[in-house]
Amino acid sequence: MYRYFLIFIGALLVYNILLIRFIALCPLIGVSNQVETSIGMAMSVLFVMTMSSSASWVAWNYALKPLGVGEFLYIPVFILIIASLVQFTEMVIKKTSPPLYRAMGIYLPLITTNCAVLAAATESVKPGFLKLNVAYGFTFPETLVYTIGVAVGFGLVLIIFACIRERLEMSPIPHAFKGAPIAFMIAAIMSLAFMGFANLLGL
Amino acid sequence: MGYREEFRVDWSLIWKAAIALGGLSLLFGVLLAFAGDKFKVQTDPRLDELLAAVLGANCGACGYPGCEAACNAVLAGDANVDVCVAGGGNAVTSVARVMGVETRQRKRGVALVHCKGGLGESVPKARYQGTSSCAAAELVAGGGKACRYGCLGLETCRMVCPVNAILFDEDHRRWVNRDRCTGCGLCVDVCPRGLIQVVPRDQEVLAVCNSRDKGAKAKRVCSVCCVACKKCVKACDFDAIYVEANRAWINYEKCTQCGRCIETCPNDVLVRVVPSRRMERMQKGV
Repeated sequence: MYRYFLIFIGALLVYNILLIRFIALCPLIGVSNQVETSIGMAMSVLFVMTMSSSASWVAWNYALKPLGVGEFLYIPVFILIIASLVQFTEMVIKKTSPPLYRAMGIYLPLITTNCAVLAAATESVKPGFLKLNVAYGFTFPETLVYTIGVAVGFGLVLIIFACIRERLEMSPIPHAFKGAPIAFMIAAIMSLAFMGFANLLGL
Repeated sequence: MGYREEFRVDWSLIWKAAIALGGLSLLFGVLLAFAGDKFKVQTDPRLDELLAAVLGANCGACGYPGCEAACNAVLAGDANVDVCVAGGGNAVTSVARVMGVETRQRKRGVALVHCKGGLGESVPKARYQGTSSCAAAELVAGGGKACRYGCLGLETCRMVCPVNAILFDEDHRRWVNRDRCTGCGLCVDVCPRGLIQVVPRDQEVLAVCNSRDKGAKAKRVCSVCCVACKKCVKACDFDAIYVEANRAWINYEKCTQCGRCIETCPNDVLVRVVPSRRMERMQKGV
């Protein structure tokens, strides 16, 4: 149990995908103007990331690894899986819940190209940075916990960032810093703050 | 291990890779095909007709994110049938026919670059080397041209034009192809010097200079600039030309396009733009 907790905290805070590993900075700057849209994006990412990492784990452990082709083929295969799942999710949501489709319709295809999803899928089968004595790959429950940790960490930072940016709109910022420049500076300061989690629980 | 052995092709690995990738592609392809069939959403059949009726350039000039969103807005009754700005009159009539309503033609304009100064006419003061964007050149001490108001001749307006109506020539000066231009006005906002305006399409007599410098100073930097001599104002019988901020303006409502001002202008600032179709007829002598 403690191990799952460590994986979750490691993915959520210590190795936060946005602020520590600097992956998927495009949605961080692009979709964080309003809290509502960033919540929609965070939810979509959580859903797609969990599904794609699970499918990638299955593909790795039951197709790529037994055939011995995983080392050089995992990126195309994972991209294939992610793109297909995003398409599939879009179809299902369009059919079952039109309001939800309208709410996050534009974000879903964007997630296909979101590097965070690919990074989470890759790290699930080849966790290179967590100091957990993982020889080669997580087990399936560990993958689930890890992916949910990454996605929640992504959403957490995105929503905090959106809250800050909504307040920035009202603040007296020098004209030259308005918009993206101040957003990058805030991201850097938040990144410094998150670096304070380094070595938490020995991770 | 010899050279040959080291680079031997491992065919079994290639087969395995092909099987893995091909099998997974097939699996997901079949899955998506079935899902696409099962989760098919009934859309309004008029949507496809509308999509065919509008320009389909996804230019965004109508204010909707893409043509499909605009067509959906028309179907929902949120937008008028003349939603497609770039498509012009044809699009309006087609959309109106699909929707089965009366059409009201919007007067179509055409974009005009208010500058005649190419590199031959306008003196360069520096050589701008950098990204081919007028907005960037404007930031670097106002670009390469000595005239502070003229066309920088880079790519900012050309990039946004959805119908490729802005012509590129090596003279550091932009022209608009009036046959192609749909008057959507996307280029108007991006020009850092505000040179481009949408003028009435049937207006053929135009004043093309943007210089706000006083006569002598303007003349120093460009040979085809308006020096605000007011000769055209005196020549005009219809009160249609006035001089403001050191340049001539034409009041398009009063102008009768007689062309007397063109003859009097000493600096070729006033021009008559002849549509290319009529030009062809003139050349053929018809």
